[in-house]
Amino acid sequence: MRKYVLKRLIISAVTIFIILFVLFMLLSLMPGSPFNNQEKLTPEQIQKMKEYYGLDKPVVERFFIYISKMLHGDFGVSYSIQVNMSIRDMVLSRFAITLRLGLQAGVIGALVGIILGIVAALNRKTGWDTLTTAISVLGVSLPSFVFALLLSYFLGYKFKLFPLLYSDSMPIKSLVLPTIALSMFTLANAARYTRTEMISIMASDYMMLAESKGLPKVKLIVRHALRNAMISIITVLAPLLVNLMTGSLVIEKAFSIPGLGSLYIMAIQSNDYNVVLAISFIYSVMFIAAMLLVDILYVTIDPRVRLAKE
Amino acid sequence: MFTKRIPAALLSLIMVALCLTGCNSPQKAAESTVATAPASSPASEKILKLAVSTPVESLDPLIAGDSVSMGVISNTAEGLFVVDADGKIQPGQCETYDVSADQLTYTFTLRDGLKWSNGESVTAQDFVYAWQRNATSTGNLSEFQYQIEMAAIKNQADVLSKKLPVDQLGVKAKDSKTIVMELEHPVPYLLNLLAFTPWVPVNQAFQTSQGDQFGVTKDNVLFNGPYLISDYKIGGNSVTLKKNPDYWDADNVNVDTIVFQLISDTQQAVMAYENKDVDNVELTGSLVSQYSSNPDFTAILGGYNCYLMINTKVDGLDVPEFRQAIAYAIDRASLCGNVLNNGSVPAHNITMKGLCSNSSGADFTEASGQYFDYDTAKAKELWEKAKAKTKKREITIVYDQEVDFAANACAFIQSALQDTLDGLTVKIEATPKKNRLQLEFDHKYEICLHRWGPDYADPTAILAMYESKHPSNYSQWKNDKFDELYKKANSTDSGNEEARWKDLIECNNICTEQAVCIPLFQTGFAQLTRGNISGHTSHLTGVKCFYKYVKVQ
Repeated sequence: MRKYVLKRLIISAVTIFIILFVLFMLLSLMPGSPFNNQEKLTPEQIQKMKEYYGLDKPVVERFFIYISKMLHGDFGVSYSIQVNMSIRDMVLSRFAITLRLGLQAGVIGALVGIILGIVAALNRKTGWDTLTTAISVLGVSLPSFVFALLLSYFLGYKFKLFPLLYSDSMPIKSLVLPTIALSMFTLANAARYTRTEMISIMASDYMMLAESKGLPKVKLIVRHALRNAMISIITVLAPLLVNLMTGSLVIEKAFSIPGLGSLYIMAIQSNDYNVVLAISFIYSVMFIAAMLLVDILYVTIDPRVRLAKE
Repeated sequence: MFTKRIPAALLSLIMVALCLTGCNSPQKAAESTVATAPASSPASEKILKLAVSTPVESLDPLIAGDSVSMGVISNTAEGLFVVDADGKIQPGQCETYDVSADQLTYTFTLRDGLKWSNGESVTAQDFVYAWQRNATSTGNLSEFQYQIEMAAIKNQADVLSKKLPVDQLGVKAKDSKTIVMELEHPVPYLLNLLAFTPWVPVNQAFQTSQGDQFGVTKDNVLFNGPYLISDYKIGGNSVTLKKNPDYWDADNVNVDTIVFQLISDTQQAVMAYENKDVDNVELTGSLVSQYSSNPDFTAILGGYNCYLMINTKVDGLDVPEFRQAIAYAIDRASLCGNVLNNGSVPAHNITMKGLCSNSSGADFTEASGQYFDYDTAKAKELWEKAKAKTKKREITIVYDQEVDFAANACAFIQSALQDTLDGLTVKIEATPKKNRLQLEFDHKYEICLHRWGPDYADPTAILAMYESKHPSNYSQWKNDKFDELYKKANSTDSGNEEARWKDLIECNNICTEQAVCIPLFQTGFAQLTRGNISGHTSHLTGVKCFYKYVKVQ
């Protein structure tokens, strides 16, 4: 196990290095300068600005300078979004909000989804089942901004239960609507998979055997059915959780949340290279870490899965 | 039995969650606004909350190039002059000023008792340092060097090109309260320039101590204006300004707190306005017509003109008739009324209405010739002439993919040109703005949908870029008569209002008539503002609003 994790970590580091290298090259090919008000600058001024930030050096040299600084925790400064501000300060504060929103939405979505899925599977062809199916279909088919608009219109604007916009002074209350809007897709998927898995497992021979042995129902469902169902649910949920953090852009825009998603788009549009690189780095690390975590969880849930020859 | 318990458990869980979220704020649900104002604010406190769509880029007056940053800087750091709610120039830190008879020497006298937010006095040297800093800046600070050039300060060209040391620039601090500025030729718009952000004073000792972090956060700058920045977090979604008690005119500053709330989605911003989270919101696109009957609605002309910028060095597009045929074939009224529907009005001139007027009150653009009224017969006639001179039958129009109206506007133009100009094929291409700018910069384009706004209230703010040697002459157009008149207006005729006015009107007419950059429409500026607010302006040039003139009833 330890050997496997170590091997995976090395592969991950190499992957991230390659991602950064390719991205660095691609960004250097992008047309236009990373500076604001380019239309009012003379070619000489643009050249001077490039020299100031060291952008006049060959791209490969710049890449290695970037990597060596990055390893010391220096991600450079912003060229246009918040000029000269350290990327670390800029990204960290936003990452905290994005991470919180993503985790909240992920945990609530997964928990409620799994519970709904179990309820539906145990009450097949009843009102509960229909309700769960309806929620699943809506959650999967409606984009998150529709939920964002509906929630902010009804719960925010009409009934004034929650604020319409994110505010530092009420970080919990102002994140309720974004969390619900963002969690709908995960919730729907979790409910759908749990229901399907639970139904097939409940009908399996070993469940019948366990039931005939007289095991209490709670033990039967939690220890035997759910644990087996979790393997496939986790396969679906893990990447979804990462998507929640990388894909919250629409929700961030709708509720004016100063998160990473909105910054990412702004950085791409304005060629703010260092911001793009830093956020891509974070996203890559998160995705790779989530995948590793899933593999480790498999073993924990199902001891029959062996990660590597031990 | 167990299955029946699950729904109950689920419901209880949701209820507990709701209760917990409810516990978070003791305020009543109905009061759940953005809470940007402190909960303990006194009842009489006057708060102005404004929705803005972009964050603050920088607090350094030489870096900030966007209207939000400039608005924050110019209201927290005051220059010699400000612009009041009626658009008139008023003295700011300057108490009086004298102009010599030849209009070449200005002497500005500062008020008594001016203070920086660290307690130090604001001196004439702070202004001189700020301007010298602009003249000698390199790297990312050189964006506004052209302002020194436009102000025609003595020796500016040699100082900017580093042939002379900066102490030879024609600005001196005679004593701690007196600034003397010498010009190369009279500059009628000088005071208007001085009310712009790059001209605010900078405390040298403080700025030097901050190094390249000057202007990055609120703690890296000093304030001497009507407001102080009280809250500006890295990565936050709002900036809060508080009234500066040490400001010389603090008694006449009506609004105590100003909050700039970042809301990048206009639809959401309007909902926030309806919810009373903000007091002012700018409307774009279809929201303009949707809210035009709202009592809070106001619409004025915006500061930008939209054009078709033409690369006159491209084979075929060097033929004036080709360009003029395009200009006559576009029905601007229909484009504005049916396609854009956002308050824009047809433009028949390179300059925009409301840019500036002369001492008798005549508007420069209205006094200039009006060109290219929609006329398909004339377009066809010119097109036939053009066809005889060139074999070019296909053109490509590039537009910014980020601009909401650009795709529709270009599709309209495409169909208008293809319908009217027989045998012409028009291709339209969307591209990121940065790429469009690069294409213009490298002259690797045929036609671009181009937007341009003036930085100061003078026709040269627009006409400069058609002067043959200007770095922003993207059209690569060269006209000797234009160059000669433009030079005259900025040298021999600069002290004579009438002659200068005539020169510039002629420049404007030549350039428009030649269809170098075909004017399409002037953007509108529509907004919703709460009825109890007055003086919230959106000046066409320079700083949009000086909040010391805003009043909340």
